[in-house]
Amino acid sequence: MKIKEGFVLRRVLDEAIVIASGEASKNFHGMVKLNDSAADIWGWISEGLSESDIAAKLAEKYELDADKAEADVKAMISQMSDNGFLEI
Amino acid sequence: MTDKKTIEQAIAQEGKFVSTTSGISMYPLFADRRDTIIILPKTAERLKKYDVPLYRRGDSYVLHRIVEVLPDSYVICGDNCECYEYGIRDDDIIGYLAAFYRKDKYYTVDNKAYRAYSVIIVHTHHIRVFLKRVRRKLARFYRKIFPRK
Repeated sequence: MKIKEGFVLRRVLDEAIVIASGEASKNFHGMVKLNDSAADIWGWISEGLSESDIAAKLAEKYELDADKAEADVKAMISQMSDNGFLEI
Repeated sequence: MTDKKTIEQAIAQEGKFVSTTSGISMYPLFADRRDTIIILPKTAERLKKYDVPLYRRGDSYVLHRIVEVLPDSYVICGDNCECYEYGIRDDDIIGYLAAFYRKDKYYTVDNKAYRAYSVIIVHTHHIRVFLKRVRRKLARFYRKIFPRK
């Protein structure tokens, strides 16, 4: 699982925003705002972590129980996939 | 915007507009589809020389640099452009460049290196245009002598 080439996370005025660059920007003209935890998940996917590792990191950082963290990660990955940001 | 918001609407709703650069008119600062611009809405205060406003030209949006501030308008030119644009008024301006990512490095327009670049690019305009024209003439001359087969 990795972020599709051309989609980048930018930190802008304390907000995390995903935009497209390069070839991807020819078809995707939007900007997607992410909250802190979603931006963290995006960053951990970029680092190549597995879904279970990401859930563990999320649980640790936000003091969530393991089930909640796993569900949040699954939901985020599903949304990213639906929006074409992921190569699985 | 995915729901086809105009940039004006995006700025009004979000308080900023973030986008990937398109075109080469601000090269070497920005390359086509490589860099990220962060535009903030204009304020009541007039923009200054070296600022980079986003403005409308017909149906398209333009992000070029102010080279001269006139009482009722601005003279504007892209860093990679040869001709000045006259008569851009405050009403035409939507916002201004506040920060950007060049490749993956973040800069605000207060960055000292960026400020120095802005001054240099404006004050070397005429010599850069002259050199470009000489280069084009030499290229034409070369092609006359050595035509492509």
